[in-house]
Amino acid sequence: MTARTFILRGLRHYRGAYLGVLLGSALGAMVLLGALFSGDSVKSTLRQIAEERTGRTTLVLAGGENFFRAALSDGIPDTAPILQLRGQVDTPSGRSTGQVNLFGVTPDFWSFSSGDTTPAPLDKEAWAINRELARSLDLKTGDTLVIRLGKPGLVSRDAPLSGEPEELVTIRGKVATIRDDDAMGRFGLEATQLPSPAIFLPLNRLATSIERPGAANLLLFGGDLTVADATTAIRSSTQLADYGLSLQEIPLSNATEIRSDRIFLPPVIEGKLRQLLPAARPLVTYLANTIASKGKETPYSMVTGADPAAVSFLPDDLAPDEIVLNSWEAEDLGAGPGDKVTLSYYVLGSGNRLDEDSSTFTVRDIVPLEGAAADKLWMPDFPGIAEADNSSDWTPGLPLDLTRIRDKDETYWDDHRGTPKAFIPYAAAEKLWSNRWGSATALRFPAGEGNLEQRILDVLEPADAGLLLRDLGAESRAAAASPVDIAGLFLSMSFFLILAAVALTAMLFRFNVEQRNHESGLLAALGIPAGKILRWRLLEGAIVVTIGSILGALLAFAYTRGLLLFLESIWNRGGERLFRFHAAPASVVGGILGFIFLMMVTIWFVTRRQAKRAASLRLESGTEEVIRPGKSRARWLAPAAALAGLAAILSAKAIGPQGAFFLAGFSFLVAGLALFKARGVSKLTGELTPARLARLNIVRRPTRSLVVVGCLAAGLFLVVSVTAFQKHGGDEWKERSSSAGGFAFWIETTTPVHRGAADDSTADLFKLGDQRQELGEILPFRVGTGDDASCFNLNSVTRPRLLATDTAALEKRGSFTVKAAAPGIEANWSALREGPNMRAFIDETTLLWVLKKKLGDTIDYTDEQGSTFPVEIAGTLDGSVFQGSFVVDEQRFLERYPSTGGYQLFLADAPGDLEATRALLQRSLTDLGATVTPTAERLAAFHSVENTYISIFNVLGGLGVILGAAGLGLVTARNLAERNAEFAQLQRLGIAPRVIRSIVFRETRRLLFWALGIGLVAALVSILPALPKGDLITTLSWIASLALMFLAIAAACAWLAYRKATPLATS
Amino acid sequence: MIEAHQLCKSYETPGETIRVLQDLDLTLADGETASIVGPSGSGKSTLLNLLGALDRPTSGSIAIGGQDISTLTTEQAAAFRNHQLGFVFQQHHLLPQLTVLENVLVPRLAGDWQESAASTESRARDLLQQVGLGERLDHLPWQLSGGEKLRTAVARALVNQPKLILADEPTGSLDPASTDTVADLLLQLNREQGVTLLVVTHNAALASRMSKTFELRNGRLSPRITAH
Repeated sequence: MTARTFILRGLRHYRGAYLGVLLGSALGAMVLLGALFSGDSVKSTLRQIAEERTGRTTLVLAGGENFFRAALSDGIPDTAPILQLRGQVDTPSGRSTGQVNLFGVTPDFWSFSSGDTTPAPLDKEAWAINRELARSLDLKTGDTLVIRLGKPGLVSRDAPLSGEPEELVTIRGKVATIRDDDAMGRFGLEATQLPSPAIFLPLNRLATSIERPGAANLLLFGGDLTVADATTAIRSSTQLADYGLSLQEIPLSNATEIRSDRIFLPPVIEGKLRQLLPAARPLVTYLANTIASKGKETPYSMVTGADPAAVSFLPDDLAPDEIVLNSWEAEDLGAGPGDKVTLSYYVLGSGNRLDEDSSTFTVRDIVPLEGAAADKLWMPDFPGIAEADNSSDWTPGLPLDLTRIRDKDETYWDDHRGTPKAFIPYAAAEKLWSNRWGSATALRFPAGEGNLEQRILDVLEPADAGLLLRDLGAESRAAAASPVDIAGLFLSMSFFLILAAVALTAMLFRFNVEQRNHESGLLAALGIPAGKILRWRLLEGAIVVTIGSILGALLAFAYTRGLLLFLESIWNRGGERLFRFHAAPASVVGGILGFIFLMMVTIWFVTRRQAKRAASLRLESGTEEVIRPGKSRARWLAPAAALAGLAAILSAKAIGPQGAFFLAGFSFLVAGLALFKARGVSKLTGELTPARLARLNIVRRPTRSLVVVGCLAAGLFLVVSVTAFQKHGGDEWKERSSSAGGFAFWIETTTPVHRGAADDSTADLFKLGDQRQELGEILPFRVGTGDDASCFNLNSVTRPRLLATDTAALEKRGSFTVKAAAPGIEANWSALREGPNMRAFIDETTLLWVLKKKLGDTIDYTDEQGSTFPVEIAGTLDGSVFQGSFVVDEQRFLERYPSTGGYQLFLADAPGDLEATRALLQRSLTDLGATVTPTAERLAAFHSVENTYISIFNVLGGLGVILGAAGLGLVTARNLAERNAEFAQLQRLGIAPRVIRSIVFRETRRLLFWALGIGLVAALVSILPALPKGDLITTLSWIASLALMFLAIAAACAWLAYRKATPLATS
Repeated sequence: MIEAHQLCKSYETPGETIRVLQDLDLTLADGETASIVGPSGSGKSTLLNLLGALDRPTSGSIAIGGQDISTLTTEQAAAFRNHQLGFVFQQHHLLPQLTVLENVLVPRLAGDWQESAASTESRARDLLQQVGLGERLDHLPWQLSGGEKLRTAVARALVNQPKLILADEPTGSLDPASTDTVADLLLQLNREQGVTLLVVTHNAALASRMSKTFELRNGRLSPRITAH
């Protein structure tokens, strides 16, 4: 006979009593481990996706809209060039999808795969697609595809003289192979768990289709290169073409020019080159809409701004307000020295609009149209102009009235092409025509500089041309390593269920200990120390709880799958599994041990007093019954806690709404329970009636009663209050102050849309023609760098996507409500145009839950030149359509990202029928690869994510309430079973079973109503201040039905227990 | 064996202090047998709890076998009971999950016995043989009659070879024939093993078989003259 035998015999003998403890432990462990496993699964899935997404890629050189030579990779080992564009994909069956990633790749690309590295057999018309595109368009090998994509310009289509916008290219091919996720099918730069549809085609096929043969805009690096090593490797292989630069000999001036294929020399490059070549002089050639003098005018002429000292035919002292005309122009205007000449030209105004401006000059001299003055090379290769046969064919991307062109102008074009008709000093030209892309169209310096190309390359950095080196591997690992804390989320949502399971299990354990009080007393009498008896009890408990926890861990495998399935419903992937189950060994071991520890601490807490009681008392009675009238601390605790709750509500602004809600709720729960306890021990004297006897019975075992009422009330409080936060609506989108800003549609296009000169919010941006009237105002947004930080993205996003718009237009329109602003900043859209830093407004949900930042904080971004700059979080928008993005002012944005071309996001009004307008837009915007979403639908989608989480919480909280109700049943059964002798005695005294039943029912009913009252009042008082008025009726109906459900479940449990526990039920 | 002097025990209640024992004196020599009788609520069980170190006196002293037990810590008191005393209760308190033999061996669970487990078990078997349960060693308590349960409890009280047995209404639930059997058994053990025996009982017949009888009334003991 050893302690081990004794414990094992106890476990075997009391197995029935321990079954409840076992099941309770299994349930608690299952829920706890399920939350941890869910977190593990999401984390592991994201990690795996990150690996699949980037493969072996460590670093990536990303150019965006700045292209470099694909051949750059030739000199750098373990690299692969990619041309990444976006397009719309159509199939002959009429299916189509936008926002498709088009990857022009070389065979080297496939070697970056983390799985299958076999190169896909690609050729001009045989392409590979990924699983996501195959799924979304139901494609299989051999199917035909048509890609439509916008042809990128040499320079931003927003720039003056950038050529005709919206040039679409169509290419056709067949699906040769479908690449799996782990065979580079998931390749992408965005940190998201959702795969993007993608097509992989030969790099040159894609590059030639946009007339940029040999161009790439991504370069993948494998191996363990550091950023510094990679930069060195890149610099040793670059050519001027990679910076978009070229050298142009100008024989007539015995000079050399450095030009940019982006027309304007980027200021950083211009600055470095001027330092390198002190003799170099900038010049700019620009299109004047009109050169006018003395009532005569010449349409559409090139005018050059140059340093007079560096141009042989210009007077050295040409003043800023003086102009030199060539002889042809002087004759055309009939102007001579001393005459006034006015130049009219387009400049870029606010909101990217082109405004026509003019300046007047005095004619200083007339130069003959010969020699250097007649050099056609003064004009750079303006797209839409340089290659035109006739002036009337010009398509410079400016609103020209080509009917103004006269025959003599055509003749001039035929003879002299873009030879400038007038020259002004560069200093004057710079003032007139500088824009965000630069000031000079060339740097000119005397011919004869030796080893020029290498010297230029030596001073330039890839970032100068917008080619930024990113540590993609580290970025994707970081995004996947600390994703949205699903484990924490589920743990918090399961908190009450775990608590209820632990409390109930501990109560069952205590019942068992109480049942064995005589045994404990005997052991004490036989000289077994009380501490040892407690240890044996705890050891028995630990064995049962351990077995229960292991069982719970096994059940958690299935439970987690259910949770993940529920979670996946957010992304609506048509039944396709998004998450792969994973249970980390640390979670299994830590979760089980943690739960056992939690259980054992609770069990120790509830049994320790039993063990301390004198053995003699235990020998005499089975359970302790305590009635302590008039000495309860509850008397002062109830009002104190209620006051604390009120204070929490009143200070909601200071401590935040969530904090205030939980603090107030907790305080009111404590107040209610204290009141229950205080009321329970008061008025215990007086006439002996069944009602009073019922009250006396309740306080016979105050801990049991308090646990049951507390458990039920807390469960009800949580379920009711969280349910009340369910998001409804989106219907109020027409209100300009609403989350939709009064806009009907959220339109995203694959191909950027460019705004023409003088286009305002009523312009026909989508070329709808007569049907433009179906839309009201259209507000375009530029889509900048950053990731989607909305609740749809589970990755850790540190830099939300930048959405840049004309904030003055939003302000004028009165759209959206700025809910809060950082200290010292006005809660108004105009605030985004002020301050030293770029400022942003963001949706409150994103700020709180994704970024975990506060107002006034800054987040660093990298601009086009690779410089870091802060974006200041200036204010929050309440539940807006912008969830997951920073809204910034367009002008401030363009200062940092001048190359960003066009708009890819639009908010649009729709005065008429929504469905009809949506259909019209979807039809009309097919070429742009547009997705048209009603703002109400977008808001509902965000709400559905929150509501899914709330539903999960409700299911778990509801289970907790059921467990609490089961607790009520157990307590009822236990109380009745213990009192069977008492009931028999009452019957012997002639008290009818009817009366005894009424006493029992009163006891249970009292517990039930106290729980209901405490839970409901705590919930209502806490949530009422935060409830939107529109939802009040819906919410109150919900609460009423929940309360009824609660009553029904708890009453049913109590009734079952009553039927089971006492012969009274059948007597 | 027992020397109790000026023993007082009182309980605090919200309204008053209840004095159960007042200046009680009790002396019992080694190997003596004695019974304590008295009306219900007179404090018999309280006295037994104090003598068994299950409770502490409010004042006064108790020495058992020359050892002052009124100042023992909880742990020391448990060790004292485990090594020096044997308890027999009215309700037997056999553990339902253990066999008859295991029930007798329960005191060994205290864990600090010098004796080997085999020796204790051998003695337990002898004791059970002695009380007539030699054939029922592997039976569970529910398979025993009331008298057999009591005999098992007696064997359990003797397994630690105590110098003193405290019996609280040991025959309270037995019929007269079984009462005689138990009384015979206890007295036989007293004779054969020299165990001091103190019995608290309402049963006059059992009380009369002890060498001394005390009556507990108003918190004090007064001797009754018993004729043998």
